[in-house]
Amino acid sequence: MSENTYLKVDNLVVEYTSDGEIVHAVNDVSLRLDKGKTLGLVGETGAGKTTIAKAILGILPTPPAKVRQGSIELNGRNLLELPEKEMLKVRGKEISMIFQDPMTALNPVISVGKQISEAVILHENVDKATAKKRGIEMLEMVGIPGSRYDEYPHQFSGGMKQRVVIAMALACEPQLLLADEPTTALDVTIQAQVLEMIAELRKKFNTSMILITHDLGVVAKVCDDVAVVYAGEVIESGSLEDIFDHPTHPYTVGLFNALPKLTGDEKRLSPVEGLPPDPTNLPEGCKFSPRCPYATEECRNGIPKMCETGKGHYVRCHFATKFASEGQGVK
Amino acid sequence: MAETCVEIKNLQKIFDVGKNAKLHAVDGISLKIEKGKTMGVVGESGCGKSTLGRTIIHQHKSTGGQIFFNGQDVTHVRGKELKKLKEHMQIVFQDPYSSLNPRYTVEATIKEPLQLCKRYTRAQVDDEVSRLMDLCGIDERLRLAYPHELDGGRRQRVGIARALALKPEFIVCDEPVSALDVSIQAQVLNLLMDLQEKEGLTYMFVTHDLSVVRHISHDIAVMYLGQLVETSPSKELFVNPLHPYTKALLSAIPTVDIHAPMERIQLKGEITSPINPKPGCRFASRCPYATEDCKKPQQLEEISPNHFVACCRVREINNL
Amino acid sequence: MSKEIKGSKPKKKSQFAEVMKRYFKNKLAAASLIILLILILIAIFGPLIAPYDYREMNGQLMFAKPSLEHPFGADKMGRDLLSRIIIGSRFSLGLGFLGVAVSLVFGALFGSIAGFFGQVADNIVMRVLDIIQAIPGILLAMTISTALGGGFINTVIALSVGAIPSNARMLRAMILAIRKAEYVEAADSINCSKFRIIVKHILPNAFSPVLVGAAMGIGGTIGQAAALSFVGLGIQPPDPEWGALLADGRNYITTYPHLLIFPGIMIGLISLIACLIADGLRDATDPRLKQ
Repeated sequence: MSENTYLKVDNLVVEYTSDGEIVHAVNDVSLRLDKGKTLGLVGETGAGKTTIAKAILGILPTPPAKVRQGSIELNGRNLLELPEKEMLKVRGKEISMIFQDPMTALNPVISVGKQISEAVILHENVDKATAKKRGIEMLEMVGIPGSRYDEYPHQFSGGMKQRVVIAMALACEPQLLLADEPTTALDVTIQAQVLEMIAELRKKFNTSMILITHDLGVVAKVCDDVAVVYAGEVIESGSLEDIFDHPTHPYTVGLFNALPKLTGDEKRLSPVEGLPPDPTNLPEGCKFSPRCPYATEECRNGIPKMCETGKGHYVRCHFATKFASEGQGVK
Repeated sequence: MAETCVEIKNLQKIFDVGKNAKLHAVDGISLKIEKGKTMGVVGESGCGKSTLGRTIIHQHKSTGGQIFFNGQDVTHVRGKELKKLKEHMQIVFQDPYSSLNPRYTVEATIKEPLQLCKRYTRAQVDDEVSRLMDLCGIDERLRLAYPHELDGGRRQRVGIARALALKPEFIVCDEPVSALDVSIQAQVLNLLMDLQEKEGLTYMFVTHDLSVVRHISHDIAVMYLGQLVETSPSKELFVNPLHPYTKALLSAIPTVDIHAPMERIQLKGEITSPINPKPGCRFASRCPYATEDCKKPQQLEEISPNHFVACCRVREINNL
Repeated sequence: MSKEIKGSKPKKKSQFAEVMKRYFKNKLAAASLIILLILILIAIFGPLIAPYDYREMNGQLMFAKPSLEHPFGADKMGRDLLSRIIIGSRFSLGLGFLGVAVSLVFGALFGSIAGFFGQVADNIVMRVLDIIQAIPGILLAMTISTALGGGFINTVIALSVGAIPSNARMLRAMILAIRKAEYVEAADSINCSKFRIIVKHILPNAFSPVLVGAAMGIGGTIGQAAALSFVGLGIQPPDPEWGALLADGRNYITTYPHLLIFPGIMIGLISLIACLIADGLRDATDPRLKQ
């Protein structure tokens, strides 16, 4: 890959044990993220997106979670081998995470300004006055007047709270931002504001970002690269154009077809039939084969390998080359 | 002209939320929903769209205005008549995780309304449960399953079957797919559309998701802070939005077309509080076109056939 | 009706059978239930099982240590301790379980009224309960016991009143959370009566923490009964209630510890199995925990 690769995840396998059963949350995931770029992790509930992010940040609850194998290299260091003490420095300073629910990510009894400056004090050797100054700066940067520094989370609306969370995440100018469904809880007009704000701030600090979402529309607006996750595997990855203009894996195609469109006249939607597999009992062979309209014996028996169908465009499907050249009716 | 199923005139629902604090959740809304059609109601959280649906089906008591069902004024029905009316008007909820009693099996959930309405004998109830499960695409094997054993899509199907049990004519769908994944969402939307065709149902589809509402609705009403700002046939609204709020809303939807130019209309600020609102256009504080005139109350005006807009500057803004 | 049935109709099992099956999967809960049943049998057939007359004093046996003839020894008046514990179980089990049950029933009633009807009813009920709760439990029990007089039923009432407020409060909080759930609204939309909504939809989902909380109170209730006996109220000597036996033995803790140990073990045992049974019941009646 290019020399710019900032984050390199290789063959990551994460399992949870619950009630004696093994939940295969992440199965052999490899990702690449270049400096200053945004990677979109797309997939359905339970596909393992959040687990990947938590593994990168090293905040998986162990037990029950366990990283079975793989490596997560940030700037050439394997985070999985870093002692917890070192990891503390990485977290918040180099990597920080924005969680889905702004309502629970803030401490209700500490003023929002203080929560931001606390994060600064924790990671940078600055005195309180400097930290406060930085806190006010950050608030203003996300469009909240600095005069509201001493107000408490309940005095803010949902959109503003999410902006406070983002200000907190960016306060220490992290190199990598993990955003887990940052706008799912927000209204569309507010979502648009927040997405634009994140984009501006990233440009300013040259921050790389992994955006986790189920909303393909958001991915289209924000990301440079996309990885589609299904049952704990990346089943297709490539540039935004690769995925959105030439979706190749039957699941990716199915996702696009299932979306109601803002133009066009179709009467019925074409859902992906069936349900995502139970992660304690994954199908043999291709994980998508039980729902795939093109599945053959070969698919049900053998796990497909990642196959490069174009430069940087990878597809995990036995018939990747065939689908790539012929295309399959994307509406 | 098609028959009207539900009509509301100047409907109001004001909640007392404290001393001298009145929350105008639904404030003078008039709408007509034709039989067998779907009226989509869109708006941002807190605009009163869910309250509107619940007020129409008498889950909330209206505080003003009138509700007509099949031409009859049902605003103030009580007792037995209210019970009858509620059988005709049902609701499908947003959250498939909290809309089913965790201690009820699928069968018990669907059975309850059948038993309560006393239209069926015991044996008929069993058959009817099977029919409803089949109709909503729930496998007979899941009859004794509990909600926690089902995925979101299946739970939502159970909620739909429960709503259909009383053979209603009118169903309020309150964000029925917003908690579901895309692939499952499409399955449930298809089911709702099939049911409409088979059973001749009339829907009021409340949602914040504009692409979903465009897909399923014949007409769309856009709400802002308890009031209607625009109503129009569905296709027309997306091609030719006239109210500044509708325009901003449509421009903010992220589409999957990566080549479409992004021309978002910037809105300042956020939705204000619906408690003790001032008279006049409620969108004025965020509207890029606001003038002095906007401080007067706005009237819905028919700009083109069936396309109503509540904005005093609509003609100027759109060069009409 | 002709239709295609996909999959076969699953066989119906009675809910009771299913709950029992799940209950007995929990080994601790199952063992506790068996021990409880044995204790109840002992209580019922006490006079037949007890090796000696529990009132019979024997000067030679004063403070006798446990022996083959008298496995638990004898007390300060030379009465066989095993017989006294066996007969005492009739009072203690009765007081403990009935007292908790009564407080649970009334707590549930007041909690439901306060939680479901809200506003005025809530205010009246909760303020009255506040007043009750402001009086220390043992003081309240003594006052009621004095007013009503001794005897088993009066003692049950005296012991239960103090526990009503906390049960009611816990249930009210649960109900307030659950009544906002959409399935309660759904029940209303299909014309469920208010009573049915409370009984079928709200209470089953609100009751388990209250049940477990109440079961934890059984040990305390037996202790309070002892306190009542101690000041000459409640169950009166020579009737041997466990709490009273424990209180008696207290004076001889260094010299004749067996007088304290055996009643103490029994009270501890009954508290423990009550909690385990309540835990087991809570899990068994919750379909979400089904494996």
